[in-house]
Amino acid sequence: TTCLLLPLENSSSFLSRTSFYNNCWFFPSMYCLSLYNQIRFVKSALWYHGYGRPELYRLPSDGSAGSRELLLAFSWLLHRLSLLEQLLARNRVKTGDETSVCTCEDDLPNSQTGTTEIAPEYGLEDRVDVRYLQWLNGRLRFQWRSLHAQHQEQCKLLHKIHLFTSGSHMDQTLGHFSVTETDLVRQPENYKQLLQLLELETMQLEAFLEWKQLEPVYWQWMVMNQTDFEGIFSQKSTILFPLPFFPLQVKTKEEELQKEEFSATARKIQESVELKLLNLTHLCAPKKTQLHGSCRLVFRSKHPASKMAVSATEVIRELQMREASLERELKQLQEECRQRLDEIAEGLDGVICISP
Amino acid sequence: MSIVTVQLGQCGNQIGHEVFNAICSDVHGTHGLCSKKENESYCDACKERFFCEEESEVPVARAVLVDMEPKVISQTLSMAARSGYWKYDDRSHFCQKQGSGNNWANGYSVHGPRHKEVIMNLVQKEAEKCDRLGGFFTIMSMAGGTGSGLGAYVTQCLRDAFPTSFILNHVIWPYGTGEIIVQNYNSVLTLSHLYQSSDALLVHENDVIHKICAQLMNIKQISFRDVNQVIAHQLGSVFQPTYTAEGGLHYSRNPLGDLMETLVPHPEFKMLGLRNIPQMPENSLAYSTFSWPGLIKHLRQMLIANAKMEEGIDWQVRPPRLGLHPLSHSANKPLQFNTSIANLVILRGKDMHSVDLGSFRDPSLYTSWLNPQDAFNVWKTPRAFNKYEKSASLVSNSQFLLKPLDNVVGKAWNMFASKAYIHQYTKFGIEEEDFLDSFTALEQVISSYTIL
Amino acid sequence: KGIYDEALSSFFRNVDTRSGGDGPDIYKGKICSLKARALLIDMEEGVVNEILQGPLRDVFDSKQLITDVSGSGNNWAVGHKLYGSQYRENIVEKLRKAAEHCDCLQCFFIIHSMGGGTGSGLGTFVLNLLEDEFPEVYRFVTSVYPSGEDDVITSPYNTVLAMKELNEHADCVLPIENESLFDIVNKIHQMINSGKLGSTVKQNSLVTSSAGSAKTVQEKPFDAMNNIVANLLLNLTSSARFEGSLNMDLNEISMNLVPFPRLHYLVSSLTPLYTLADVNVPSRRLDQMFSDAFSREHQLIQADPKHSLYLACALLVRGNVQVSDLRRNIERLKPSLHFVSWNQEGWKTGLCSVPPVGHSHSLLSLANNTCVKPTFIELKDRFMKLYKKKAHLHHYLHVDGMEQSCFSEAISSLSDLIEEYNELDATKGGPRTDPSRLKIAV
Repeated sequence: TTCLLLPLENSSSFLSRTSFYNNCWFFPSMYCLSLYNQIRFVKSALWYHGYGRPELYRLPSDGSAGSRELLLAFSWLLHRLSLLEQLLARNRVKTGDETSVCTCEDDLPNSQTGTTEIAPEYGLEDRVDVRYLQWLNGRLRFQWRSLHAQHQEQCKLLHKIHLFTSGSHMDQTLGHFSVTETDLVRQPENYKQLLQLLELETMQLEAFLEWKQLEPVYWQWMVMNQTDFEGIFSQKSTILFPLPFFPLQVKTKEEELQKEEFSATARKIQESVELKLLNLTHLCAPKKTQLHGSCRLVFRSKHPASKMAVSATEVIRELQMREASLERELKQLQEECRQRLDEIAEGLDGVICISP
Repeated sequence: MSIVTVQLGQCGNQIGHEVFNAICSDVHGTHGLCSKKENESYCDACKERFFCEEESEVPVARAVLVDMEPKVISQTLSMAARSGYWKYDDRSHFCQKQGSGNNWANGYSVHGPRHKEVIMNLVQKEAEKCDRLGGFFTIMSMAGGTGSGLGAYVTQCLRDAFPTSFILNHVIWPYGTGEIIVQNYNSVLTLSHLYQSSDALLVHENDVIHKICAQLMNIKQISFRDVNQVIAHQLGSVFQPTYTAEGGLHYSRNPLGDLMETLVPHPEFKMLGLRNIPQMPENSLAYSTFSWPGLIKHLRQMLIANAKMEEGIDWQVRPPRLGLHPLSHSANKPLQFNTSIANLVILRGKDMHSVDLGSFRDPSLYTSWLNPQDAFNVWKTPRAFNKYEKSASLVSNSQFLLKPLDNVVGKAWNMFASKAYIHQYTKFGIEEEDFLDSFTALEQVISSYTIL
Repeated sequence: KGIYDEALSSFFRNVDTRSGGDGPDIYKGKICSLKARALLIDMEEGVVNEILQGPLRDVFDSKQLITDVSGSGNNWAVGHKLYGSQYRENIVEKLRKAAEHCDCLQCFFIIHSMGGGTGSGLGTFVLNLLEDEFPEVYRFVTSVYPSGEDDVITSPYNTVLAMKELNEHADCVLPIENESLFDIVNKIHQMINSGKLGSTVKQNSLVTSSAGSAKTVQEKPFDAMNNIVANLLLNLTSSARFEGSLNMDLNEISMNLVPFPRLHYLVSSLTPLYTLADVNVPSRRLDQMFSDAFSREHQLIQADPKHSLYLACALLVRGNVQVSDLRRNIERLKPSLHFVSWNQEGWKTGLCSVPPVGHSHSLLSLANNTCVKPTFIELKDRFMKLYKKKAHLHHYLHVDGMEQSCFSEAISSLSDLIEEYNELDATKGGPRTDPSRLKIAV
């Protein structure tokens, strides 16, 4: 029995054995990207997190303008995502082997509803061949698979380390070494490097504290100097976030929704709710508290005694159930598409439509 | 990262054996022509890919051998063991007493389900030996019964058992005439089934390799062994370690994934052709010198004129001028011009850093919906391959195979229209509707490749 | 003594006679005593007794024999209906015994004549038995057809009645005519006498009896003729027995050569001729071997494949021949042959690296060709001549289970077969129109 966790959902979670040595901030591969791709990446990342200000997306892709927009966006990120806290957490020096666990419901910012009409405008200047989109989608799938294989390898190697070092650790609840510990045992001179990293982290934490003390000044400055600052939050956007500093004006916008549109949307929502309910009955088991965050990986040949610990098998089982329900949903959607295609094809003479 | 090779049928087993031979002799050769350190990391990467060395004096190929008759497998096993450089795992093979009789349906519907468990157990064992399973490389012919029928079935099982692994099927396209009479039926059934379960089909045409043996290798009486050795050399030139553009200072640990991401992300375009330059008899190598610009110029013309080898290239073929009819890219192209979806060039040997590949980044080479940044990639290594001081390979997802595919489907359709041989397939549960489904699927592929 | 290996095990099993001979097969290693995997059936004793006293007596024992004393009187009905029901149990039991000794039973070879009573009647009865008892095992039938001047008056009846069974129950039939065999034997004889071959006569080959083959030709024409048929079966199975770069199992033959279930009559030819005479000769031009295989004189029935329509053709090559030799010759010969429109590339090839004993290479060609039609038409005519007069019918009708309808059904089965060949012949030379392909809507 092994209790290794595979964090498959979150492709940006950077948990690899190289992170110990290669401790760079945020997204390491950013350094390899061309300027064009960097800008594209920033725009799409912001879009993903729900930043709705069109001015940003209209910025030229050569990087010649946009510092003010970037500052606004950055401020938004600071607040909305607790960016600094996240980065600190991500780059924490890890002496144990960790993995991220997430059994939360899909918390993507309800991207399905209503966001399409204000999609970023770049890329729409001329029509995109659907084959190109299929191509890109295929590439993503392959990249995901490579990542998956990489994770599996990591798990396999972790397992080997845990197995070979079992019984070596002084801490009885752990029993075995982590990768970092094993590395230190094998190459003691590496402790200097580890020390350096810890010192660096302390410095970062100190800097963060300092920032926290000065933060109100920053926001005040922003309000005074950036006339658009409040505007960012008053656009028609489905992403809602409570900001203690500023009153929200979203509610009125929502009331402007036309009635027809509303009833159609309502129908759709009702249908999807029914589907979800169906899935829920399949899951039938009472919902447990959802897990989210990093866990230390510990290998046990027997079932864990501690109540605090999370069993990997349980997490896997839970994720598998989620997978199955998503699978069902996908199947149903595909079936609907197929039916619609068939309906369209019925109108054509002498043609046999073979559904995908 | 390791690749598990699955050798299926007589053809698959014979070629698989030659591939491991070629890889091994490349690694053992003293012709690396690069620094000692370079050579070492090259050899390490190669060994991790194709061999495991636990508890054995010589490397053991990461391979599973499957055939429905015993003769070829026993011959292959003993030939490998006798080489002294490498061997197959003694327990990693499966054979029966009686072949599939050139009947795809027999391999797919009878032998497949009957022996699924044993075969998949062997595969599972081999996969578990890998720290990182980079994917499967299956070698099979598409004409016969075992390689094609059982091969299609096993590929499907691989897909089910390893849904996230890369599966590359190496498919031998039969001689246009003379091997097996029902080869076009078998081919149609094989290709249509592989198109569903495989990620990419890397194709070698027997007719082409035969010509290479005759014209480039100067072999008088050409045997299957000669043909297989040329194929093995070409495969080695792709799958031996290289540096990719993103990979930095390490040899790529994910050759199958890198290859697929570069060439076959679109599920409708999975047919890969392979070209290699230079190719000549070993004893002429010593007297020949090559320049990179010359090799690249030839390779590019081989691509756009769809030439199968460096001899007899039509130099008149030019890419179409872009911008005339931006919306009907396919309408105004010269007839013989071979349009690409994506290309991968692999350079091996000294001074490869100085090579200018701009001519492959010409947008007019590619379909209108992909730009050269997406469509073209290069892998390189300063390490020379198999005694060739410099060599270049091209893996191309293009209209290379459009004509052979159209031929096979056309001939099979002619036969199907007169219902000849159908009773041989219905005997094993493959009905007329199954044929029709396969024909439709392939006509779709033909149509997609035609209107690039 | 020799070694018992996979190749030898196809036709023989290795037994230790001291332990009674019924023990399990002994695998590989030294030959103790060979027993043929065969069942010998005759309704008289003469021929079988002769075999039991001949040089091959040791490979058969009494458990493999089924004989009677009274013969079938050249009457299909006696063989098929009378002896069939009488010996059914006995035959099934002995077949099962023989089958039990095989670890992978692929194929039954039935060797019989069509003109007499036992071979055609009981022979086709056994064919049906095999289909019932071993439905998955292939049935290859080597049928010796009577010639025009056959001394058996009822041979057209027997042949046509047997043909119906072959049409329905055989996977492949290799028709052979005595006339053709005789011509070939004469030809070899001439070649040797004219000294063209610079012959060294080879003694004691595997195939012929201890008498030198040149002598055999003169004194025992039947032995030489039978030798040709034996060679046919040896070459047919060589690729399944020995290794080669392009193996060919028996099941591949029917798969590739039989496009429609009833059209399973394969015309065969063996070249070079001298391989049939067991004569050591210097290797002649390889390409001549391929050319000869398509000529009228080398076919084992009176037929001319070159001027008829090919449905499919197989070339089984043995010896030091490479794939490039095969391809060259196919390309060379193709223009002179007519193939049916939907099978313009109807070639199947096998390469077995082990040549026949004492030779460098050999070729067996099997053709599914409409050239068998004249033989069948002639047979039909001879049948009708008798049948119109109701000649000799009563000999058949008084056998239990035999009715007049058997005759009408048999002749209509043959007529249907001829008609199927006619339809194919009609497409020959006509304008070729390919059926229109499926179109993809874009």
